[in-house]
Order: sequence, then C-alpha cells, then structure tokens
Amino acid sequence: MRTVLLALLLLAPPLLAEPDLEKLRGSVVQVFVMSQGEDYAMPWRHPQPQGANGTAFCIAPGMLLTNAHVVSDAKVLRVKRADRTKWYEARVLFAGHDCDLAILAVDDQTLWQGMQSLEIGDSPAMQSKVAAIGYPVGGSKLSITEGVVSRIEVRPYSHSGADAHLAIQIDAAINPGNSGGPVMQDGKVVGVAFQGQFFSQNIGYMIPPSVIRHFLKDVEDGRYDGYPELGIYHAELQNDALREYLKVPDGETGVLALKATPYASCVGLIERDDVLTRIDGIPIENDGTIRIDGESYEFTHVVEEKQIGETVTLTVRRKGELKEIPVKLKGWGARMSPSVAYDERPEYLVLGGYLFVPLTTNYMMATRPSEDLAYYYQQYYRNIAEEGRAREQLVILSQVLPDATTRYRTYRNEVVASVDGKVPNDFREFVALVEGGGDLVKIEFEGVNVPPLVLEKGKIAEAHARICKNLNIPEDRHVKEPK
Amino acid sequence: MRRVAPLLLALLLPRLAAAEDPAQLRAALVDVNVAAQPWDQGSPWQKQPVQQRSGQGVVVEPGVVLTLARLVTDAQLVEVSVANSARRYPARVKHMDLAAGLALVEVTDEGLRGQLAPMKIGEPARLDDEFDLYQLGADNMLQRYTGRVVSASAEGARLLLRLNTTLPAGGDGQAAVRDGKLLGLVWGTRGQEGTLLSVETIRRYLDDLADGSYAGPPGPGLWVQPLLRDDLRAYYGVAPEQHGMAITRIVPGRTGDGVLKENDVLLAIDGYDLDDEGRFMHEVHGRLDSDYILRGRRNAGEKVRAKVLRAGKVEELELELRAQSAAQTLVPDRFASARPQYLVVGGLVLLPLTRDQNFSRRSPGATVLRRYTERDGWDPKGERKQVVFVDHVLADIANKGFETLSCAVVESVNGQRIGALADVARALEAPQEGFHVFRFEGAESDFVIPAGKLAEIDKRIARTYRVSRLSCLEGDEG
Repeated sequence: MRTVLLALLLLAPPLLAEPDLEKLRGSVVQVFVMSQGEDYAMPWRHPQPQGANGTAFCIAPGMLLTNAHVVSDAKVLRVKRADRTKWYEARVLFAGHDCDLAILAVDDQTLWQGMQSLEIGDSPAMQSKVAAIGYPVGGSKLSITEGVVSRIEVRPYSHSGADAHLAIQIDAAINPGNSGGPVMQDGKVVGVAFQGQFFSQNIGYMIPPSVIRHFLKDVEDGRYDGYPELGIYHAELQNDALREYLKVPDGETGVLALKATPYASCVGLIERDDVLTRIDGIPIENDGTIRIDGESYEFTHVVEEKQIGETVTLTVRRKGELKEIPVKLKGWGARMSPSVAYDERPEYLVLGGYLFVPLTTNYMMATRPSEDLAYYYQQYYRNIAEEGRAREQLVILSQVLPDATTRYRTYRNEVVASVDGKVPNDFREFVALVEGGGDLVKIEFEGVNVPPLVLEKGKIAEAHARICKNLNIPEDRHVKEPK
Repeated sequence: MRRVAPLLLALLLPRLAAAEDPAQLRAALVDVNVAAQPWDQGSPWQKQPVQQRSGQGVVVEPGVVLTLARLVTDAQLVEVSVANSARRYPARVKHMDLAAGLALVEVTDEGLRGQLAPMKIGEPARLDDEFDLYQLGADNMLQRYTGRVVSASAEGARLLLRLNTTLPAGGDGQAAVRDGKLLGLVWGTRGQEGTLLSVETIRRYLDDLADGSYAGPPGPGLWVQPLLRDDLRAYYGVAPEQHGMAITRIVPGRTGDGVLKENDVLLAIDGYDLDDEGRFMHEVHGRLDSDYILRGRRNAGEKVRAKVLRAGKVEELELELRAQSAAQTLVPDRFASARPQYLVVGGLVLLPLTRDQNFSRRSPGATVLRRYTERDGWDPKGERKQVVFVDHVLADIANKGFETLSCAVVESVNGQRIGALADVARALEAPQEGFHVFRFEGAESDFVIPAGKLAEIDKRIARTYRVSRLSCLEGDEG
C-alpha cells in the first residue's frame, strides 16, 4: 500500500511546487500573544488577560505579516521561528482592523538572520491547489494542509464587524492558530488564512493578494489609513417606469443614488435621484454590479482597489443630463463608526451614581441593548444627518449605580437628548456641558416619557466619592483628547 | 336538640349559609356562542377564516345578556344556550365597547326570552371577599366554583379584581354571584389566578347606556411622571408634605387640554388625594391607579375637580373628562368589526397604521412603525391624521424591483404630503409629468408608475391576486 502511494506521488505532475520546508521553517513564525480587551459595560474594569497563538510570516526584511485579530489588544507579543528555540519580543508596526492584516516588527536583529521573505503572488485560479502553512492547534510544530480554491467572492470580515472585502474560500483545514499564516501556491503567497465558518466543515477563508497589496501600499507612507468609503446609499434600478421617470435612455444601465452618508466621500457631490451609470468608465448594471475580466463585482469594488486620497470618477445622469463627477475618496469620516474598536480605552464618565458612555459598537456588543437602543444604534449611521439633530456621537446614560442618592432612578441605556437644553455634539462636549453647568443640571432623554434627570452638583460631589470608593472605581472617567 | 342546632346556626348566619337559588341562576346565566370573522389585515379586501368563540353572559335586562366585548367582535352569528339544554337560540349584538370590555347581546327568540329573568347588580366585592363563580359546562350543566378577592387594579377604563379561584384556565365572562346578585364577570383565568371585571365597570357601562346614548369612558390623555425622586420633586417645586404626579404632556383634545399645563403637579382629583406614584386610596378597593378616577368611574363629558400645584401655588381646576374620540389619534385602535381602510395602487398595499397591526417582521421599517404606535396619538410634526404605510407589495411587472418593500411610511405622493389615506387618493389626481411618484420616509427609492397605465395595471393586479375591491377609504366602511 505504501509503495502504491509513493508511486502516485512520484508520478504526479509537478503542478504544485513542493514547499521548500527549510525556507518555510525560517520564514513562517509562531506568534504568542497575551491580550487584554476592555469591559465596555463597566469601563473602569479590565478583563482577565488571555493567551493565544497565531502565525506570521516574513514579507520583507524586518517585517512580519499576520492578522490584525491575532495581535489586537496585545499586552505581550512574541514570535518564534520553527528552526530556532528562542521567543523574540515583537511589537505591532501597523494594524488594519478593516482588512484584518497587521505588520509586526522585532527589534532583536538575530531573528532576521537567514530569514527569507515570501513573495506575494497573484490571485489563485478556481479549483487550483493551495497549501496553508502555520501553527494550528493540535501540535506545536509547523503544519501544512492542502486544499483547493472553492470560491472567490466578497465576504464580511468578521474582525471589524463592519467591513466586507474580497475573500477566497478554500477547503484546506483552517483552525485556530492558522490565523495570519501564508497560503502558498508555486512558492508564492496567494493568501493569508484568517477565518473559518461556524457549523461548517472544510470551509476556510483567506485574504486574497489584492487586499494584501492594498494594505501594504497603504502603509508605505508610514501610517495605515484604511479603505476609502464611497458613502452612497443606493437602490437597484430594475423598474422600467422608474428608469423612464428618471429619463434614463434605453440601453443605459445604472443604480439610483438615495443619499450620501455624512462625512464620507460623496457629500455635496451626489444628489438624491442621481443615476450612477459608470464608475471609472465601467458600466454599472441595474443591479449594481460591474464586470471586470469576465468576473462580476459590486460596483464599489472599484473603490476597494483605491487608497484614500485617490480619485474615482462617477458618471451620473442627473435630471436627464450626463455628468462626470470626480470624487476624491475619503474614509468613513464619522466619529460614530460601526466598526469594533481595538487597542483603545473606552470613554466613560462616572458622575455620582450615573455612568455615561458614548454609544459604540463595542458597547452594543458588551451589553444586552433594548430594542430602543438598537434603534438609535441603527439610526446613528443610517441617518446621522437627520434634520435638526446632527450629532457626531450619541451619549447614553448606561446605568445607575446603587446609592441612596440614586433611589427610584430606573434609567437603563437612555439616549441623552440635551443638557440644560443644549444638544451635545459628542461625548467630550457632553462632559463639558455637565461639568460647566450651574449647580442644577437638567439632562433630558430621547424616548417616550422618560423623566429628565436633575443633578444637584452639591449632593453629587459627596455621593461621588462614596460611590467610587464602594464600587472600587479607581478612575471616574476616560475622555479622549480631541485629535 | 341535635336537629335544632344546625337550624339555629342557619338562622343566626343567614348570609353565610344561603346557597344561591338554582332556578334563579338557570334563568340568568347563559352560554354565548359566536362565529366571528374578522377582516384580514394584510389582505383587507377579504375576511379571515371563521373563528368559533364561546363564553358566558348574564341576563341583566329582559332578554338582554351582558357579556365580554371581545367575545362578540366581528360576529357573524351569535347564539345563546341555557342550563340543562343543548338547544341554541338566535341572538344579536346590541351594543359593544372594547374600552369598557363589555357588550350587550339581545336574545331574539321569543320563547327563550320568556324563560330568562334578569339578575340584579350587587355591591362591589371587597378585598378578601369570597363568593361563587358559575359556568355552564360543555355538558350544559351549571358548575359552581369559588373565588376570593386578592387585590384590585385599574387598567385603562376597567377596574379589575384579582382572584384566587378554582375556575379552570380560559375563563371568559363567567358570573360571580353573591346573594343572587352579580358581583362581576370573569375577565380571564390562568392557573389559580383569575381577574374579575368589577361591578363598578359594569354599572358605568349600563348606566351610560340607560339614556339611549352612549358616551363611553373617557380616553387616555395625560402623560405623567411619578414624584418619588427628590431631584424631580425639587425640579417641580413640590413641598415635602405635597404628593402627586407631574404632568409631562397633554394629548390635544383629551382630558385636561386647555386646563392643565405641562409641569403642573396633580395633587388631587375628584376628591381623592394622590400619592407620589399617582395612586390613591379607594374606600372599597384600597390603593388604585389614578386612571380609575380619570377613566374608569365616570362617563365622558362629566366633570371633576382637580387640585393642581402650578408655579408654586395650589389651584383648584375643573376638568372635563373627554372621550377617546374627542381627539384625532394618530395611531388609533381599529374600531372593532369595522372594515379596515386600505388602498391598493400599482400593487402597493397601503394601510393607515393602527394599534392592532402585528409587525412581527424584523425589518427596520417595523421598528419605525412601532415607534409611532408608542407615541399615543402624537405626531411630533403635527401634520398628520394617519400614518400611511406600504404593508406589502403585490408583485407585478409594473412594480418590478419593489417586491420586497414593506413597512415603508409614505411621505408624499406626487409632491403632496400624505397625512391620511384619503390624501393618497386625492394626490393621484395630479400626476407629475405623466407619472405617479411615491416618496417614502428614510433612505428608500421612490416608487413611480405611469399615470396613464395605472387603471390597466390595477385591473391586472386585481385579477391576478383576486383582489375583489381595490380601496376602502374613510366613509366607505360598512
């Protein structure tokens, strides 16, 4: 039996270049991380640190590429080559949470001796064979698993919770520990293993070369800025009467612009009822897709390939007339981001027996929000520029801490509407309004018949010290300095 | 001697020992059977499958049975039966009020009318009172259960007594009887717990009807805040010895409109002092919500005195209790049994928002609609009489691309703002450049349809989906 297998291997045509094991043992390193996240529900607390393993590999002298999720919230970060015994202290040079990639640096130069960089190749073809290299659970030595490319499409990137990019699905086993490891074909890197799929078997995802290159190009200037956002709410244009009403000629296709998201690229450039017919000259279909080299993509894919600061040209039919609109690309822009935040301390203010926080995705994940709060959360980036109430951040009264002075206050996750009649633009301004106000400060809330909170500064000061002592709150606030 | 003792006891304690007269019970307690067919809210041109309901009622006037309103809504056929007989007799709904929770059913069979004898309404049951509850079983036998009052609570216009009872779950209109008089109708039962619609609610309903015109109980109208918190007490300027509730909003047209002001503190109503939760001590039922004074005790149109703290001074005011119908409610309860209003245009099924609509679909639009419902008749912009929305779309080539539109609130049609369903019909008379243009709230695409082809499209959709009637607007009901 053994001889038969051997014979098969020998006969097999050399489609897949044998990975050079010696080279890989030096270039693909194991990552050990001790991370500590934040407790957004009780922001003065710090959860217990957790240890985990991942993989990284050399892409250029002095630079290791891995997943952002491997190194997020890291307190201690170490790497080890398969051909050495020493663990080296590492640090994060760049982290791109929106594309789940990060670059690590190691200051001890002995790590890099004899280490070869792996070259980034082109996107692998469907059904072609690939090998995932890394340090997954189940052992401590370098592991190589083989599979084929099953599917290439835009997928959610779960690390940020808010981004979707091109991803390649492979059937090679991708397990915890594989994260950040290279997926190779013909001696080149054709992907970075990054996530699996719950309740499924033989489904692993890797970050394709286009996304890796986008990240590497972004950091060339010494800073990671992230993906640009076109920022247009649009609708498909499948309805003939609607096309006729919008004076779209026969044979022309496109999508209907409904609204530009505030702070993003198209504010002031795109109007409601504009029909977007082309993006950088490529025709947009009525369902919002474009075709490049026979493959179908969402039209925003063109923006995916660009960096912040670059320009994309939209061809727009406005009131029957065709216009070319160059759009200088910006990032998300809004302070309230739907992305999960990492490596950041949560903002909060404990004032007497009241805990105020800005409404963030991390907060929504950390607490069990009411339907009402979920509504505001949803609205804040759908409709942030709702007439007359543009605010960059929403502030919420998260909870009432037990004390004699807070008796009968049954607030939970109430959205602050105003402080002494003024609408705070963000958390910082809220804190300033509360602290700068007179001896009586009246805070009103959104929602139906929620009673106002009237704070008496004199009483609060006394309660404040008692509550912080009793609840063991070492710091009563963390408020970010303006950038 | 042995035989005399029980007799003596019976004489000494006549009330405790008096068993109800079976003949009287059999002549007053009836079983009410209803075949009902509510309108289908999602497809309002048709009715839902027939529902069979059964409950109980009590004869309160010659040939007239008092029962629960919810048993007889949307009734197609009403029949009653009496103890010891399987025979059913025809009857009809004479009057119904969902706010009071009560209805009158008139027995139309002359033969049965002669057999029935009204039961008198008794005095209110007090806390800890025990009494019998009667039910006509499936075997048409009169069954006796017991109940004991545990507490009382005001719920809207209804005063309910909570019971500890032996009555099985699913109670609907069974009579509580003491000394041959009615003490209430069972509102519901679950496990060992039951609720009884009180004599006070029944009396208000019957007295209101007595003069031939029904005013109904007053509607809700005041938004209030309890004043347990010292910060709010200081904010409203309430002295330590003063107790009551702060008024945060007054629904236009309803009780208090024009008399009370926001930030008034209501200290007493109709002679009852309020506490800091807005409750008061009732002479029979103990601590009750002030809703009972404002909505449960009197008829709409009556007046009550109110003691109010306004800007540091106590003032005596007079409040007229106003009916539910006194104000245009943005999101009304659908009037039971009434035909729902709707409009089908280009396959869009447009409905005015009502409280009984059920948005189980988890769309963002459903959340928006639920928020309108919470605001209790309050249009923040003050421009609408109804919230008109697309419930769903009957897919057709003409509305291609909009098949999944749902829960979208209509902002304008042909540039005209939509404040009621009738506005849509009016706006359709003035198309824009040959098109009807529907605009929705939020980031939704406009829906357009060629005006010249609308009639043809509607006809096709009506035929495809077998829509028997494309619209039912205000005034068309019936």
